[in-house]
Amino acid sequence: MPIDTTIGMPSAELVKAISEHQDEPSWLLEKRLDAWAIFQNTPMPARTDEMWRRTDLRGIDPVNFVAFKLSEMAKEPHKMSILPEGIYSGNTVQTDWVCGEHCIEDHLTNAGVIFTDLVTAAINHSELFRQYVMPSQTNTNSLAKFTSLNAALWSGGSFLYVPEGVQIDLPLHRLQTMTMAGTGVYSHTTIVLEKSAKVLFIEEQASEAQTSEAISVSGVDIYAAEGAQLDYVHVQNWGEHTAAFSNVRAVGHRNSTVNLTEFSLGSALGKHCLDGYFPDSGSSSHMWGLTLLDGTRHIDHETKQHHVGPHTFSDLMYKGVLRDRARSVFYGMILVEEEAHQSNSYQQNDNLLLSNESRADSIPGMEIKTYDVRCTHGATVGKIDADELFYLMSRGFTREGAEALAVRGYVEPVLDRVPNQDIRNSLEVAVFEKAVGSK
Amino acid sequence: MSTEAIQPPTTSIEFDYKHGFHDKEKAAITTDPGLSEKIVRQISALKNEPEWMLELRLQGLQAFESRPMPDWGADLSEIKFDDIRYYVKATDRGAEDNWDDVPEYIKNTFDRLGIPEAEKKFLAGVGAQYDSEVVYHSIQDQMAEQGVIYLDMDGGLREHEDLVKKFFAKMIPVNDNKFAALNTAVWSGGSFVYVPPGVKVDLPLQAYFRINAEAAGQFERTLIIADEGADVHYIEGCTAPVYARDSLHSAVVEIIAMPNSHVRYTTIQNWSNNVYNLVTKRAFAHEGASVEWIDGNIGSKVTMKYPAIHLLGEGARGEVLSIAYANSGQHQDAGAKIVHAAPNTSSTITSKSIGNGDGRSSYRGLLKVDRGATDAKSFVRCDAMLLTPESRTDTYPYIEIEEEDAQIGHEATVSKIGDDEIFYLMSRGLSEEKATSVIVTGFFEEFIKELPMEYSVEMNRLIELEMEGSIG
Amino acid sequence: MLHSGRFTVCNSEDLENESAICVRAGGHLIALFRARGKIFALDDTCSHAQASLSEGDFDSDNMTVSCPLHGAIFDLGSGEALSSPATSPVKSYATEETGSEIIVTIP
Repeated sequence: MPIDTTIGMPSAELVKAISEHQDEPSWLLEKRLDAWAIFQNTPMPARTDEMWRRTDLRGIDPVNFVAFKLSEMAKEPHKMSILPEGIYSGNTVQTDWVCGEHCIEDHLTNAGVIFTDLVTAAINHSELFRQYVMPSQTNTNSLAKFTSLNAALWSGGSFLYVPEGVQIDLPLHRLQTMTMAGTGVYSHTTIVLEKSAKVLFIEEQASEAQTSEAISVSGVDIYAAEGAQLDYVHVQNWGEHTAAFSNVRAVGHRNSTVNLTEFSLGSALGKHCLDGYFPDSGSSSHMWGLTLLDGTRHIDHETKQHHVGPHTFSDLMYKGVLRDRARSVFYGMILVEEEAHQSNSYQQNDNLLLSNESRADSIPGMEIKTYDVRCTHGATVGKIDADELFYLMSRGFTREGAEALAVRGYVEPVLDRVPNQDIRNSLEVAVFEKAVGSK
Repeated sequence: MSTEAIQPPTTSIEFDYKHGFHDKEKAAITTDPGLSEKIVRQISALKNEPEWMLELRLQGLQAFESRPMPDWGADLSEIKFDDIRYYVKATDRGAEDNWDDVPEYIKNTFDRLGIPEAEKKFLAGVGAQYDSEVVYHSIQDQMAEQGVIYLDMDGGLREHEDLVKKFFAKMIPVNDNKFAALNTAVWSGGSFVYVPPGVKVDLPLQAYFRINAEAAGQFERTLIIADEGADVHYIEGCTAPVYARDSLHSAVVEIIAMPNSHVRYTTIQNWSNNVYNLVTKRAFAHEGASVEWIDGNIGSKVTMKYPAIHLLGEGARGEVLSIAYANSGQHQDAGAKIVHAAPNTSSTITSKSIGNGDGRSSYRGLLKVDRGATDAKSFVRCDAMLLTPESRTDTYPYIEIEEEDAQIGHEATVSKIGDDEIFYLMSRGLSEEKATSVIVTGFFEEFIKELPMEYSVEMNRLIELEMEGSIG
Repeated sequence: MLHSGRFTVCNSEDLENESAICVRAGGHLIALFRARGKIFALDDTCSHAQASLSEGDFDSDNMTVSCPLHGAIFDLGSGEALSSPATSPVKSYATEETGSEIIVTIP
């Protein structure tokens, strides 16, 4: 059914139109409208909010971006991907608001794996949907205004459910693309792993070349049940005029392993929240990220390692490489509750400044409420080590060559966190190209 | 920047053999509770201040009244601003208080630390005088020889108005924060120190021996000026607990270190556990100068204090070495702020904090490198040790770097005492309590070794005391 | 999102005499002042703790503005930091008034 493009701007009418277009059950529309009400009642972040003080929204307001229009599938959307093809056990591509097919190997479907768009999940697996997909509309982190809008306006999206004991050997890939300027893309992914399940999930975001502003508001919810193992790799590669607001929440239950690796390669402006929550004993998590910034780009990462269960472990490492007049902001919080005995939590933020007009703000924080733990955090900011450069140049490298090599060494450890060699290799090419810069 | 030669100081303190010593000022009064323009004017009039100081006080009052309470840091909601007397006459200080009213734990600590009788009453706030006149006078004689000015702040304003006017409220402007504004409005007491060019003050200036009860007040204001090449060490406070009936202490300390000078400011504060200790301290370090804040925070109900250094001249250096010990019912929210605003500057911040009982210790700091402050080097280390399951610690470091040519590192750790450490010491015959206290002393070692000898001895004994009865 | 160029930021009547407003020019936040008839434009974000300078007190006699958060003082013309706790300047920009509009140039 054609959508009247004049109602493409965010509004209650648009929420209804999206729901109707996707043939949703009425309870789902109600959820959307509840979220819309929360959006309206939540104030826009202000410069006086501590968590937004360092990130100016630059006049961006999501209500000014068309949030839904019918569009043709871009000719070859997968060309926007920087990752290899043909190596996945499941994949899907969403172009703006249009959700493509969710492909998954038959044997996995037979084993009970569900990999589908959100509406199909709502209709065919409503119990699971209600339990796991945006179950609570209240979000109290800095992106509250944006996540409520996402909960109202999402379209397409992906739902992955892996039943108990199912271990998926090959990765799954989701590509979200944006093809038009002046638009807002609202996507949502929910990943649920039951006991001892295992999966590697790659989420990639990319744009066609843009001439003017666009925004992305994305949400990801991850649940890893007892003993499950999830590797989630997020590649943010939006165009240079996009403002990207991303909220990732992961819950790792007893003895689970949840590894989140984030590559922020694109966008003009970004606020990325990452919440790791560990309520039961024995869970372990590595949360690593690499942010490459140049021009006047500005990305603000807000991370949280929240330990409630005893004997839990988390290790967070975020590295940034900045050039030109770029700016990186990092707010990290390790929150260890009274019950989290014998837990260990580590956090490190390193920034490499490659120009004298770049700026890094690093605020690694800790709130520790019990004593039988070991928590450390650290931050470094600086340029490439002079001795390292000198050594390389004395071995025959030009200054540019020496710098490039040093930067490669700096970003490599984050690439090493990707547990699939093919994906790692493709990422490496894109990352090195971007990190070393055009000189 | 340099100043003209200053005449040798004349003391503003008269010494009356029979009654100890007192300030030569007009009959003082104690103001009514609460704060108002009338009271601020009263205070200024009592001190016979110049118009510009009254003006500053009134600006401070206005800023205090219009600023909101901070929405971060410790809980200050129980401070009753309207019940506080903002200016207390010296002789009133002992009059209403009775030795019997002094809490037992304070008296016990005095005994255990071997504090002499005379000193006890002073520290307990039930004695208005302190009989240290001999020590005081010998200090004054030495200062006079070197041309050093060392007076209480009121005296400094009276006798060296131009010098005070040049620097007062320049490091910490009137409107810097709510409590600095309050201090600007009602300040009284504190020290004024001026060290002439090239002069090295041999012995540490210890505020403790100079002040009388009035100056040991709630709203001390200290200004230290180290002229080019000067070198001075100033010590404030003492390890013994100081019992204060008034529960709001809001001091301001400003330091200016001219080129190539060196200032070390050591504080050991052990306020009784009803006190809110909210202090603003900031130093400016010019070319080649170095400033150190050695800050020990024990006691008080709440402490909020972040000694700051602005490195404004090339080659300037700054160091903050701070410890905080939060026992049950206490919240130490302390830290450091260093700004690199010139090339070739370096700094270190070392913060060590301990939480015992259900105490809470927080580190809050800022490390900022401005654009153009090339070749900045800074290293920050915060370590926290929690001794009990109920204690807690927080770390909030803010790192803002706008210059690529900087080398910045920050590290923080939180842990408890290792079981193996305790077992080892116990296997050597120490009780668990003693073993813990030895480890705690070791944890604070870096700080303790920076104190003058007699303080470090007292410090060690104090830690032992604090640890007693805390293992259970 | 952040651009250089000449930008019309407001109408002349939006900026009254002896007043300050916050506008955007090319995505940048700018504090615009009209003091003693002249117009000044500075980065609105204080170099100390990022508060809004357009909300501070400005002094036409001394041609300075003081940040509302901690009182740091900046020169309206050059953006130089004149008092603690600020230690670095804010950028200042060229302005033009065409009679009905105010234009700010971002280099």
